[in-house]
Amino acid sequence: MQCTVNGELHYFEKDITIATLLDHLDVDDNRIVVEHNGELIKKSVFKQQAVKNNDRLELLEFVGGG
Amino acid sequence: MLEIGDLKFNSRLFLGTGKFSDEKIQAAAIEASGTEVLTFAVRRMNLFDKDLPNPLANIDLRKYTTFPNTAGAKTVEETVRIAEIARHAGVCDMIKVEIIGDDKTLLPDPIATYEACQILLDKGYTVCPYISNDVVLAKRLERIGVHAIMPLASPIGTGRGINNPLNLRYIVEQSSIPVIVDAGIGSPKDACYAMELGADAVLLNTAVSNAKDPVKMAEAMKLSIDAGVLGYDAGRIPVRYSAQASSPAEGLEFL
Repeated sequence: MQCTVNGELHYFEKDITIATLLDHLDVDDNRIVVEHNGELIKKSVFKQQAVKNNDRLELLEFVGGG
Repeated sequence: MLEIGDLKFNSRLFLGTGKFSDEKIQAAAIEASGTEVLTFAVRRMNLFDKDLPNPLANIDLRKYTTFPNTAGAKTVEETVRIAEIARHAGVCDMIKVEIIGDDKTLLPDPIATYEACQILLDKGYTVCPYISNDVVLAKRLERIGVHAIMPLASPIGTGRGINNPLNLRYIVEQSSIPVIVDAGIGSPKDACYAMELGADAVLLNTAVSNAKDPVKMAEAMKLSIDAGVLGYDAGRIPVRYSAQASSPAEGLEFL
């Protein structure tokens, strides 16, 4: 299956969850906000929320700004 | 005491967290500024260079009121989306509504700002819009219920100081919500002048982060804002056209 993460296509052998995706990308989940198909996802459901074929994810973070 | 919505502050310096060259210097500058409010932006995470420093790593965010901005948004929809992301992440005590309407000057879009403020107020945010020195817009925004007005001193990052003191004064005089002068502050005298004009607070970033010594500049800004507040409260003398001697005119017969 394939999904788009921050505008880039990623390929996986099988369906995954948000938690496994973050793990695969080596992303610290304390720093990020996840938007899954346009919907903001609570950290408490990262382990249950399935990522399916053609899904779109945005991994967002807070950065310095004025 | 400065009050914005339900929030109360002793410090009248709000500090942006962008463009610091070093995390430790940033943390020291924040400390030296005495600020209680830090601003942030929301961005896509860079997945291919995770070694990029996290500018917020050394800051205990629980000690500060977090003030995310909507910088980067150019439409009402993008603005609301960024605000929702910030609230979802639990870092949104207030939201700075910043909608750039012109890429060259980075001046804000007044119509989109007004519309976005209306939506965010309906959603229950503490809303602080960034605006040009537009007295009428400030009045209209206050009428719909925004919690503070953030008129610019001069375009973002220019360090040109207060370009339009007259309009800024008009905004301060007709406003019954806090006025936070935001953007374009270059030196301590600019921050002091904003407070002398009657502003309630100053938000600055580049003036500190890009100073040769950001920690010293943070302290200088803090002191200049305190001086400006004192000066405003003390009530300055009127500006006169003609000279008036400070020493008595009497008792000069011995000359």
